[in-house]
Amino acid sequence: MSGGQKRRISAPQLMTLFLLARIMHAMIFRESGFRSGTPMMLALICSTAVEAVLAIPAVMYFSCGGSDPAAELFGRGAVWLRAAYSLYFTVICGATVALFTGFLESEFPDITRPLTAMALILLAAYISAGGGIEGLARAGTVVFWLFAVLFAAMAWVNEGGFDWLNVTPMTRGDLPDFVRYFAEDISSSWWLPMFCVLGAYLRNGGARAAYGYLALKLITVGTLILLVTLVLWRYVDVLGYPIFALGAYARNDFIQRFDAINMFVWTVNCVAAAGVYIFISARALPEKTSGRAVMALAAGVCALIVYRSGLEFDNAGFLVFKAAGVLLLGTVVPLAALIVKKRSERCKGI
Amino acid sequence: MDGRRVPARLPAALSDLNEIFGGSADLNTVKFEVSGIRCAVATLEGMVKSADLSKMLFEPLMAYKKRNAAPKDVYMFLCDGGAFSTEKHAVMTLGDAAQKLCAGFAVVFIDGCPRAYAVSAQGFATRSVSEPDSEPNVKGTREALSDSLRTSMSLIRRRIRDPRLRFEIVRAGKLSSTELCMVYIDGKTPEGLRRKTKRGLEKIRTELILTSGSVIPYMAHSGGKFFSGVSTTERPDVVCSKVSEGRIAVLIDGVPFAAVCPALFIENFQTVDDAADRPYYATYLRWIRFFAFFLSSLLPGLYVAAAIHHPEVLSRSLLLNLLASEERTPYPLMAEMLIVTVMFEILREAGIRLPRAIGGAVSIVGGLVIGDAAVTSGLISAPLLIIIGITATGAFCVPSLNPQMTLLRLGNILAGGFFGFFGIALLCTVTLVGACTADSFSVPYTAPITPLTVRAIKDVFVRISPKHRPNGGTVEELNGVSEGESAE
Repeated sequence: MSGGQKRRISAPQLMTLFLLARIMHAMIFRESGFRSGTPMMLALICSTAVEAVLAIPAVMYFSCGGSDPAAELFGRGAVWLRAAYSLYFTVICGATVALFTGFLESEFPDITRPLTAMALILLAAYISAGGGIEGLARAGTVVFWLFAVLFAAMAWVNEGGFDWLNVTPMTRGDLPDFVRYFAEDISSSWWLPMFCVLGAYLRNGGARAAYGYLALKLITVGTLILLVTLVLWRYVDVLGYPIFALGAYARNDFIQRFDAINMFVWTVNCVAAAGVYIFISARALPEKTSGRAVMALAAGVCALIVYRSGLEFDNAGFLVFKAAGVLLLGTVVPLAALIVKKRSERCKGI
Repeated sequence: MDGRRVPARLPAALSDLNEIFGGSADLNTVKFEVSGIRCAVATLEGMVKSADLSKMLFEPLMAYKKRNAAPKDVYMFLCDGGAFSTEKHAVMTLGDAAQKLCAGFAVVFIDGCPRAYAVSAQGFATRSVSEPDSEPNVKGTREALSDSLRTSMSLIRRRIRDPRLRFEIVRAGKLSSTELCMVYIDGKTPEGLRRKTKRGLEKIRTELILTSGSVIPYMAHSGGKFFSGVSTTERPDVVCSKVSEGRIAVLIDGVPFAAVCPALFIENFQTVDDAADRPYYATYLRWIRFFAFFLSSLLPGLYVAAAIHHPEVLSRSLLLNLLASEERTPYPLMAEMLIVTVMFEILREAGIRLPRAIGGAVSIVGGLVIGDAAVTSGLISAPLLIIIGITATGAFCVPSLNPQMTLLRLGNILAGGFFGFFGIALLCTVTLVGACTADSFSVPYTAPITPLTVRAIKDVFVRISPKHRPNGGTVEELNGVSEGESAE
């Protein structure tokens, strides 16, 4: 993570990459006893507020002209810290691919075998990561608009009606759900460690990227929760993937069901997100090695383990791993880097 | 190149020249005397215009009379305006003389003078300025770039009558020593782009340059492999439009096409007629081209994927129709689609390669006879033939992207056939990232869509009236152009 690299992506592009990663997580979110409603909405608002606070060290670090928190702390080596970032995103990549494969297997069982699907996704992500972060960021913007068009189209031709009675006030009994969703959302904030790595490529506007993302996330995920609550509510438990279930109510004269079209856009997003994760993981290895291939293979192994073990993102162990990564790699490391940077600047001033 | 100096003695000079050309039959030498001094003019057969040479060189030389003239006097007479040609050069070495002869110069050797004199009298036969066959239009110019570099240069100069328009010649090709001409507008084209292009052209190591394909790899600075950041055109008006936007065009002597860089993806959907038509109609046509591109690349693959893996997507009546027609055919749907696609490519290729008079017959045989017979005999279903017909017609709307569309079509059929929409999505993502990764001299290929440049995107999906964009814009103003690289 050398600081001398060219800063090539803009704040809106980085924002879009964060959002795509978050949407990917929301898409493959599947939980038993899922209850969308007021607790989930409140949890989203609270967790976004907490994320805004957690992002302050990273935002300040990049606003002060920092480019690489790991290098700031441990010099050019920083092998262990880089390896930690690499490991974290390899696991996230593997889990994302495995859970998406799970979705494919449950909703489209005839398409291909799970192992083939995982291999193909990782191969496409590996090729995509080869284009560098610029290509991924530019493609990410297109994918984002693809999503926007898909959701707009589904909303346009949706036959499901809004039932405002589904919105119930939060009661004391909803507190465990609220806590669960809050923890789930905070632990899914791996955009913070992503920010610490990709901030090095950002031309300017670290604060814009971070807080712009949080605002956009609040609007996007909030709208999705609202839609799911108003249209589906408890039926999500029957239909499985909440966002996917929304498409079940959309049809017109040309398209009878939106399932396959949803899957098309989700696959595009999965490859784009996995490509970004592989790119981030590969940065930990020296440039001369074939880091991308190694990391794609490692992600493949992770995906296989997650798939075979049947883990979900809301599994307790996973929750702790994700949250620890967010706090340590996304907040503590940039905070320490900020302190070191400020100190060294003060020393230079003296 | 032969570095020997031109011998002072005329017989030796002519003999050495003859030796360099190995007694080639097209080397002509004419010997004569000017004020008692023996001279010879060497030319290559068919490379000079005899009538011009006679007027420009022989008549003044024959009229030159001086008592006790020395060889140096005759040489000085030529240098001081004795020959009327606009391009004249002193020649010091035999290699230089040979090169000038190959370029269509007449070289004058004077007995007793250790140097020669080259006079431009090019008169080789070239094709006259013709219509742009590969880029036809309705309301634009009917002139295409010519095989002759000078003619092409004049076609551009006639359209940009500004002294800031620059033509810079670079020679390339070990054997062909072809003249390449960089065309740009001083002050609009970034200096870094000009320098990098020139450096790239100077690096050409191929022996012959017979097509723009020999030059483009040296112009494409970086970026993706599937899409090229360098475009080609045979229209002088397009070249003018591009250079006015701060780009560089490279003309190649002997090739009626110019290579232009940097090129953008969206430019494939813009035509000269867009500027001539009413904005709302031009906008409509532009959208038709966008639609045709996606239709041509995706439709066969989507059809196969939907019919094999996702029949639930299609409406019930459409699905029943498809099933009924597919039941009569012997092959699996994917194989059937592949066969028809490959057949179409064979017919298209045959139509291009055959003489025009017979080319039409191929389309009749292919389209009507084979198509009708295949459907009637039950080998191919009628809906599939309709799909291929629409796809093929769509591909003709965006001819500059035809190679990419053809390969994507084939890839999507395979991906859709094996893995349904999932496979097509994978291929689309890799293609999308490939396009987004491509750039030419730090100008993103997908600009101004991504990275987004709001003021430029107006002219992408909608044709803006020139009244609202009198000065146009330059590629350097697009977002995402790496600072300090294009202007380096």
